[in-house]
Amino acid sequence: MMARIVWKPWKTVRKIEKRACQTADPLERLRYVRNQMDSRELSALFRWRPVRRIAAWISVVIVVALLVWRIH
Amino acid sequence: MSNGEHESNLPLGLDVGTSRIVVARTADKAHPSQYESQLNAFITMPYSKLAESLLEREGVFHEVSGGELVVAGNDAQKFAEVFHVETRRPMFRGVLNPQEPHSLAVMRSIIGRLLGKAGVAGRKVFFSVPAPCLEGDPAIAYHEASILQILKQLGFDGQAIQEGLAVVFGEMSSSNYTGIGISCGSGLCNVCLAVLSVPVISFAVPKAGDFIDTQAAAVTGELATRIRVQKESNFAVNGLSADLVQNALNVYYDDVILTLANALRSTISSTQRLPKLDQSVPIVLSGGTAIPKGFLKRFTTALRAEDFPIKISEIRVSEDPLHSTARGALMAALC
Repeated sequence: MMARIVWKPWKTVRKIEKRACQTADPLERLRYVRNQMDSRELSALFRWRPVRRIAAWISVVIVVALLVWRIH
Repeated sequence: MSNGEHESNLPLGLDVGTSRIVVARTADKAHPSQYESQLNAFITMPYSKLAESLLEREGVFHEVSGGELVVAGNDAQKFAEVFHVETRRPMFRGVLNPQEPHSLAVMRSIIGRLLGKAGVAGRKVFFSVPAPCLEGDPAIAYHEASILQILKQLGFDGQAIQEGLAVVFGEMSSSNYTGIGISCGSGLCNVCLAVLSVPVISFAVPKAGDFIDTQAAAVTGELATRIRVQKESNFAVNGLSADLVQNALNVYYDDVILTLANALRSTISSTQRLPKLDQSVPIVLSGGTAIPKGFLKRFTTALRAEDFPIKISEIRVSEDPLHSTARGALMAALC
């Protein structure tokens, strides 16, 4: 689920970049890129996803749970 | 529809710069842009019938305003050199000059001369506006509204585009309009970091060509206009020199380059919600201040002197630095 949330917007960006590269004319390319970006919610596309922070918290929780379990 | 009629419907790009106003037009969407420019300056002289008829006979771009003859555009420079006076400027630091009572009238006549009347009502024009300086700049809204008003009076449908973003549109098709566009003009250095054509960070640094001219003029006792002419004809950013003017120009160029590089680094570093850029991005420099030989090398050295928050693929000067903004504005208008 998390991988999907993190990956999906970047898959969209890659797709736009790949398709734009196939357009040789600079004006057509700009038109395509702007249309694609206009039709999407930018905050969702570029939102900073704190993957490392979430992973660090999960690790901390697991370690604490293991410690508690060992002590008991 | 004839070619002329067709051309008069096509959108235009307008670079409203502190030093020059440039219009970019295209005969049709498949052909390269054509450019026309006028110096954004003027001089005034007392009105007399004889002087007016002389100016008319010589085809000098002028208007009568009150009891004065106002010579504007490229002709103002020639007259300033003949009379050994400074040209007056309708704009200061990227916006209408608040100290200049003729500013709006001169801008109106220069823009009118470059664009003419719109062939078809509502013809689209994208015009450049500066980004706010880091300390803020409330005059931009007034400046933008005034240019819109002038365009409306000429029958155009104006739309503003930030200067840095126009550079990205004009120069960065190979990186899918992702990168940092910098327009080093006279009044300001405008910067825009865009990702896939979307502006993410835009700001301006209030040190540029005019700062170099006035500071160098102050320490050498020359006129700023003459310093500018010398700067544009045979100057290279190459360290200290024996020539007094060249030396002063080098010192103040260095100041502008260091200020720009530091502002770029600190602004990007302090932006919290920066999109994650996993690829390196290009930096393109444009504008008249970026033209002298050695500018690119000095800027690259200043930027690489300390860690930069994002990966840079290349730093280059535009192939046509005087027309980058107008070209980008035209591309935005054609989209």
